[in-house]
Amino acid sequence: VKSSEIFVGDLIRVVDALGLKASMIERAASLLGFALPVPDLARPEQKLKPLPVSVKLPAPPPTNRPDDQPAKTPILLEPVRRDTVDASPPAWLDSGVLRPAPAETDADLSFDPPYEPLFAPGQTRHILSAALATRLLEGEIDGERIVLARARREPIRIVPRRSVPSVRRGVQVLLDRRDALMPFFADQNHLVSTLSAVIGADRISVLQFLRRPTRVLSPEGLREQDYELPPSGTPILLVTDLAIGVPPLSPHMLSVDEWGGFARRAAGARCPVVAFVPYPARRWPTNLRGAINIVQWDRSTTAGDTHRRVGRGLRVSA
Amino acid sequence: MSRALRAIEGLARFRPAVLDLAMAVSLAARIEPELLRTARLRLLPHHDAGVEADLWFSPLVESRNPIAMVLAVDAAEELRRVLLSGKDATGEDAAFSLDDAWAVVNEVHKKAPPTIKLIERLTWLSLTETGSERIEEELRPLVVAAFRDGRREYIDWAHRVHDRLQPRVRATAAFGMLLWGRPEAPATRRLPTPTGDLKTWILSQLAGVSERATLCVGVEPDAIVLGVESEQADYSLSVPDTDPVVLDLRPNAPNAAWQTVIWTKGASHRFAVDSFPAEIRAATGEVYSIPLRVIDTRHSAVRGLAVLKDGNHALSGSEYGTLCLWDLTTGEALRTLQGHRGAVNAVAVVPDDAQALSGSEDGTLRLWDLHTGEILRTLEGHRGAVNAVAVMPDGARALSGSEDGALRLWDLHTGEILRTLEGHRGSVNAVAVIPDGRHWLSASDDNTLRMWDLDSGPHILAGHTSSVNSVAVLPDAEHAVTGSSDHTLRLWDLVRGNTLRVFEGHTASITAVAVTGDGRCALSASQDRSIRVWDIESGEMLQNLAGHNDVVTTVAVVANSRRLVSGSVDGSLRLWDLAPLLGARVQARRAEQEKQRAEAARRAEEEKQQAEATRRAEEEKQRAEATGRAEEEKHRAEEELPPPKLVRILISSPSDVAEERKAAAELIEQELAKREAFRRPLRLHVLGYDDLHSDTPFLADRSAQASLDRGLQSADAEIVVAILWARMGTPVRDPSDPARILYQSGTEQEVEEALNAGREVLIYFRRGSAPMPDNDDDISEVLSQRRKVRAFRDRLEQHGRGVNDYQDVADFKRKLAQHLDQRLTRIRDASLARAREAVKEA
Repeated sequence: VKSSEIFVGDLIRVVDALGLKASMIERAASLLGFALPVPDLARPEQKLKPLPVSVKLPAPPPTNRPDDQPAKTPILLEPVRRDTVDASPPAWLDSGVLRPAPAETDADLSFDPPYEPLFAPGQTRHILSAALATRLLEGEIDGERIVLARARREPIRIVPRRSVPSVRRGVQVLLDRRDALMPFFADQNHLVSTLSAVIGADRISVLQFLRRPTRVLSPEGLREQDYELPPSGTPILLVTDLAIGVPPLSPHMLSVDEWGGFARRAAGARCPVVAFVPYPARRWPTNLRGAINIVQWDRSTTAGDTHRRVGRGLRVSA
Repeated sequence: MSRALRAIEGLARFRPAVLDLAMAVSLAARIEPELLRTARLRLLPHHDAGVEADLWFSPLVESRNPIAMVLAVDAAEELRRVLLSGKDATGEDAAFSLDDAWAVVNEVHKKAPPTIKLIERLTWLSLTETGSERIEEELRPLVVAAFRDGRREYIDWAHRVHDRLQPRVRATAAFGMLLWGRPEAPATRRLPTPTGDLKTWILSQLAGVSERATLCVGVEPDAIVLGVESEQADYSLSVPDTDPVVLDLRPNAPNAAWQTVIWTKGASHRFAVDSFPAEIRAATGEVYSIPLRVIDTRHSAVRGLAVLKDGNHALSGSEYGTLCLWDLTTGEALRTLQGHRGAVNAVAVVPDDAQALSGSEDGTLRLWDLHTGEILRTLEGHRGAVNAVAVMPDGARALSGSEDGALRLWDLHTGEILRTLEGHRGSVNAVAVIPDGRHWLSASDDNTLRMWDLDSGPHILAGHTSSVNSVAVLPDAEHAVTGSSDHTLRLWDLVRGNTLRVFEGHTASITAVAVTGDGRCALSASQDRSIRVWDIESGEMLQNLAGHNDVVTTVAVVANSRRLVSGSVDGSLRLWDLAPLLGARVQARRAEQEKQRAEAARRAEEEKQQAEATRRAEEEKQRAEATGRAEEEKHRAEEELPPPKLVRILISSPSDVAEERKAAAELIEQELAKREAFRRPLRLHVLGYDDLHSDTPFLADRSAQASLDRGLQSADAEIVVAILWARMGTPVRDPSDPARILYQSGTEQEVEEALNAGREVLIYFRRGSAPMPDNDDDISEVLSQRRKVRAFRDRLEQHGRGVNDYQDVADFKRKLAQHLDQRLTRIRDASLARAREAVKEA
């Protein structure tokens, strides 16, 4: 215990030097500036009354909470130990052999997979010829008709000839480019190129439509225009699904009736209509079967089947 | 169920051909029309081209364009699963195999871009490989390129194709590394928890981070919240500055496994914790112990500590001479007690929780009113610093130990020194009161523990090799634990005064010890900054509680709980939770006890069986011995038995009962003589004049009867059997006067003489008429004989002699056997009794 300048030792020296009695010590201490009373060492300690035996400790208000009690701040913890962490990178990280990098853009993802046409390659030419040939009176001279005319004494103005199927009239190809034909776009392209080889590029005209056959794309493909029938007698090849396919949420739905109207218009112009349809016969619209010559566009189709469907050359109605 | 999976169900019922084709191309990363065509023509040649379009526009397809389509992820996985099973969608055997489908995809995509081929190969491997090593091998080059060569496009690729890969591919470490290359993605995709190579790699990345960040941690009663705001945090610790943050956590449980937690920097992560302290390990290896509560005493080293009985308050003594009352539930300081003029070395609470006693380096003890914080009394008398205080169970007295080497017993009511106990040769560092209130313990720098008894003086318990710094008494009052500067704890048997166990493990001086309320665990605080929990019974160290940043000076158990409080030179009090530890210990103990019980039961059963076997063997042995003894005794008895008593049985009868006589002889010789009861003690001898084997000579000069008479007198026989029917026999005449008839027959004579001699005489009369003779000449003789027999019987009966009647030979034999058995038994017993008497007399 000390005051600002006086120490306990000072008090001891005073008591020793002056030979103070015990009763004087407290006074001397007071004179020296000690604030606290000095216990009377010569007098027995005052006996206090007994303490209460059992007193419940109430929740005391923090009346004398330490003044420097701080606001809550997190206690900085120190590590109690350091575990050995295997932080070495995998050994193979430095020994890998780089493989071709995965592509980054969609363009990098394009490639030309091997193509399998719908028609069997060995049958394609025959099928196309059988399906698109029209009947022409350009065959051998029909002797029977000459004899018959002579017997009736009718003049023979035109040498009668027998009819033969021929693709000489060429073909107008109308490609259905709606979403419903999406899986067959490549087949349509392949078909057009094959037709060029079989019939001759100069004898085919290719039209395509996005929504309905009456509105076709202009040659440059930038706009739609009205469909125009080919010259009379020229067959029309429809590469379509005849509205069988149902692409989900497609805005370009086409009804079977529209194809019926198309067929009647073509028939009026004496243009036979043939349709290559990738769906089997059981799914073909029944009301179109008489108006359109439908050929299943698939691997199972043969030239014989085609002949049975369309006959020996398309008839060009009068 | 997703739309795609519902579509699979519908197609399986109505358009199975579409599902067949979908399965055929399901291994492909993308499906071009060309792939569809080839797959159909090769694998499903009977399906028409319409199937291609039907699949193209089916709900199985997630997206499509004129170049290609992509199957929905879940549909593709399901189709692959079915394909792998070898069945088609209807459950029939598939028309093609997984290999067939893979061959078609490979052929069509032979020139496909590498990313497509890689995805398809990963898919193929995930379906066909049992392990993941080959998948890892496929991906590792990408990891190498991404992280060694800085080709981040591989990381982007991984994120782009993540959803399209099989789960097994996504689960590989290599793919996880690629994902972790751009860890800012977790908001949209949960990054895999690092394991194996992935974890190793991530740790290597984090270990290389030079910057460190402060992680603020909040503690809740049942959880740790990582990444809280600083204002809400209880603790802060240093971790690598990464995003996301990766840490390992481990709850307070023995052998608990580390759990890796990952969360985005800036967010918070809650980790459930059963008890504290939990441990957090940074990715760089630093382990932090997270106690339930740390109370910062404002950088004042804690010297003394006592926990109030209510369990919610603690009183600490500081090096600056103050005591502080703490609320353990909130960590708040409730009251500061000032008055000591030196460091407070020891604190004790009076049992009523209303007062506390402190001992200080100023040489005084002070009694405090915890309500008001006032000093109730100052106890002076020690000549040095007071190092230890303890309050007696009665709350009226206290014990103190000082560096002056003395203990003093104080009256707290009067402040008087009741007794001064001296004897230690060094500073008294700790005192403890044994619950009986009559014995105290003191620990000293003189390396000893002393047990003080007011009546008989101290008992010195030596064993520590350095200063004994602390002592705690077990609840049984018969054991104590001490902690020493020799780095060990010792368990003492206070009754015998010897060391029962030494606990080793601390690496520095032990400063304080305590014992849990159940007396099963000892707690020790050490200068090595740790607190260790020991199983007193086994000596096993149950847990090492680390966390203090300096010497742990004191430790106290919270009453009626599983918690303890420790104080340290680092100026903190820490609250620890022992519940799971003790629970596990108890479980282990119970398991051990169960095991021991089972073992004891097994041993008891074995011992029982062994005892039973021993008992049986003993019994057998005893039986054998008894048998042997019996046999021996028998033999000895036989040896000791007198020679067989000759019992002569005279069969006396006229000739008309020859059959009965013969039957009687056979009965005696063939049955009774061989009977066990009589075989040894008796020797039966049948006498009869018609005995062919009799040694009685039949002399030519006399009749057979006469010969018999001379050879044997009936009085010499022990038993006489007389048999009569219709003939009395030949009269016996006086040899000197042949006219004079002495007896009507020899039978009569023999019966008379035997009766006169007191022998056993059995007389049998056959009932019924005997056949008459064929000639009339003999009839008078026959009748005469019958009259004689009848007269003989009358005479017997007149004299009170008993006679026996019988019907035929068999009846005679039965009755004779019965009668002879009785008599022979009596003779035997009498003979043996006489023999025993003779032995006794001898």
